[in-house]
Amino acid sequence: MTTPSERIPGSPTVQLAPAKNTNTSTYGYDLFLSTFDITTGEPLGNVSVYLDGGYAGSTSAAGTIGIQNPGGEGRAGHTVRVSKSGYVDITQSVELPSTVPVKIGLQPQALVPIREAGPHSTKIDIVFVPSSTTYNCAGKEKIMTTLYVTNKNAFVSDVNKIVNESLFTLDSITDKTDPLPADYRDRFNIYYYYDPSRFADGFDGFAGTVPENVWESVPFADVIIILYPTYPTPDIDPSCDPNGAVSTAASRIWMKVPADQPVLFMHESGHALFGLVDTYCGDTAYWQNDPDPNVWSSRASCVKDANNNSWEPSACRQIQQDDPTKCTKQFWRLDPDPDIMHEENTGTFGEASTRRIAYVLNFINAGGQIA
Amino acid sequence: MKPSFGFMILCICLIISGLTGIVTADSARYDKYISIHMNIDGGKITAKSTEINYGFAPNIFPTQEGFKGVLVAADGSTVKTFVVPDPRVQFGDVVVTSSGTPQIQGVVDRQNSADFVVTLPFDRNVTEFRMYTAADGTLLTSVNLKPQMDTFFAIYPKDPDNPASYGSKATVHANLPQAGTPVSATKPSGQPWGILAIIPGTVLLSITAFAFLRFPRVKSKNVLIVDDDSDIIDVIALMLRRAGYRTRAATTGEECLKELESETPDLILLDIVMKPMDGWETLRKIKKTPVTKSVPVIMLTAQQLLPKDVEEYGICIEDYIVKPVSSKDLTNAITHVFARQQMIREKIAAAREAGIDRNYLYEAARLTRVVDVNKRLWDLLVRTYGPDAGNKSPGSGILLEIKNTEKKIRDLENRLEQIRRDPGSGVEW
Repeated sequence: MTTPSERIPGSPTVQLAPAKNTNTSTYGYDLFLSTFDITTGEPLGNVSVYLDGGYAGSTSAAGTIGIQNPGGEGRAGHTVRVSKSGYVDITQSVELPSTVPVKIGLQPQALVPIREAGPHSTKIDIVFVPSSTTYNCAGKEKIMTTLYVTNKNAFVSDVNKIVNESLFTLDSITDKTDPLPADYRDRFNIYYYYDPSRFADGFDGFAGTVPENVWESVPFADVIIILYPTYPTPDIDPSCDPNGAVSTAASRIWMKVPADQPVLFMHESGHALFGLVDTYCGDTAYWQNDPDPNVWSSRASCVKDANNNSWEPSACRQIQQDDPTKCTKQFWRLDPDPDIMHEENTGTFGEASTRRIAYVLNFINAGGQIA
Repeated sequence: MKPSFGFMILCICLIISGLTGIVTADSARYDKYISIHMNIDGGKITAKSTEINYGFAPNIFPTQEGFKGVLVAADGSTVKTFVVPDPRVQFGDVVVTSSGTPQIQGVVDRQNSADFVVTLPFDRNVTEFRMYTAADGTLLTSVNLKPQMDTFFAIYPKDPDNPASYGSKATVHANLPQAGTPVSATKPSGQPWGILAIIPGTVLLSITAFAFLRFPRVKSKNVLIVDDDSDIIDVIALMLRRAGYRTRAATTGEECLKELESETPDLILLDIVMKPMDGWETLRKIKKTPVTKSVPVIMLTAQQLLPKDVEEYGICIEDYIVKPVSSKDLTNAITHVFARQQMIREKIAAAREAGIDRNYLYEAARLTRVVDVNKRLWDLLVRTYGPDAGNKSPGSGILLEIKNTEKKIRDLENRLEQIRRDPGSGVEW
């Protein structure tokens, strides 16, 4: 008989499907397992089956597999994990030999690839999640919006649009003297996650919040992007413009952006994907990346990098406003204006920013040092 | 009726040369990640819980702003260092329109305390995680990962990373990212759902050309129906023509062989109970003839499949259909065979730029095809003699043979998995 378990390590999402007691024999197997699509009830073949963590084979086209001699002598309790691309892994406890067939229903994943270029460890994995909230300029408050909640197609369309209009135009908005790799689009895996019962809230907290169970469903995500619908009444208040924000907290990096601001999207992506630093002067975070910064903590280091890269050293200038008394930072920048990390609705990535972007694209997963 | 050993070898060779039937489950995946849930309050960091799960960790973000994270081995040596971005800082940009000119303004949110999660790829050599201040290297917290590893492997003892199960020859499954590895230098991976068959040189070219020329379009494929009942031929032919296939027919084994001399079909539907030459004998002759040996054959018969048939002919046929058959089941079976051919053609094309050892490829291709066919036959055996078939006493001998068939499939799958996991094979499917 299967034994329900609350939480089994190793199973990102545990769903328990107790064996249906059909009072039939198990056909002489220690474990006779059948798998099916929980949404359609159809048998699911080619499901990888792991017994106690070891690969035990895969189910046939009829969704069945018979397992004999499971090993682990003297051990009644065993663990069955079933896995198939496009479905949520399920781990279940089972006592063997099982006197009844074990049936496990697999739930299709809410994660849908838009462009999958390769293994997670060699690509930047971006996952778009819809926001169920937006901002009401009239009332100056967060409001619920049904646009993405009731219309998945609208969300998917907006995701595709902003990817095609911004991220995949990187070659046209970066410096051409030392261009990005020609196949830069293939350095990304792009997905959307649409679960009608789980939406992000783009206006909860500073950079919005992503439900914990979404994080657990996509642990590989390098960046989760909360996409929120355009403000419903932007013209009521000219100062009520959409905003974007980034949280690069520990291993979980996420950002929120409006669906209709491709330049703002690139600005926030500059932070979240490539670690670029703001070049405008304001209340924001500054630091010098190593290697390939776009902001330096001294003029000397900026000039040094400029010389080393055959850039124009005289372009190094302190981050400050037109009126330095209003804002001056002890950081320096090099890229010319209009610079996307400086502007709101226009600009390009200059030589330094392009170098940083290329570094991240070429050295994905380089954020650490092997001892 | 038993085929000779030579015939068996012939069939195996045909499988290799024909490269039909390349459908398999995902490659076994043992990737795991560690999630350490923590809290920072002022300068104090507290580890709240640690989990190990199957799945993939994110890449480590290349930044310089934050804490210093260190992964430590059991002997105290440092395995890897990296930056943990400060979870208390979030920053954003607000577009403000003043005097008609939009301006971007920065906003920073600096909290004193925050919950956060450090997610790392599992490495069986790493037993401890430490966090230090970046400025002066003060140790902020240390998390012993060993208890969670012990708990995990108590539940999954057969996982290859279990220290109790791997020996010195076992494949090390350390999936920590390699610092400084250019993307262009990383090895491309096959699709997670399929099989990558790679053949270098002229073999690749000839097989690709063969498949392309032979099967340019599914709907125009030519099926030879062999059955001694002309009424059945008419019904089957009607079903297939409605599905877009061209059909020819033969009413005896001899007539079938004669038909094959005039034109080679894309697939043969072959009855078993015929006189004087039955279907199995006809099959052997088809497979012995160079021109027709690679033509896929589906047995279509009223005769129940026996475990010994699977044992003897499982490597020479593509499927086994029991009459009466519905139009849907028939076309599904045929489509499945052609889909395999299509898949292998695509995989070969995709693999042109890679170099995989030919011996591995041949074995993997053969195993994968045999596993797929045998699974279909095993399904049929279970449907015929299993608990839902109403067959109360199929006989212990048959039950034992069915179990042996299944065991053979497991053995083949295990061998296939062994090839997949062999770092030297280059086979990723």
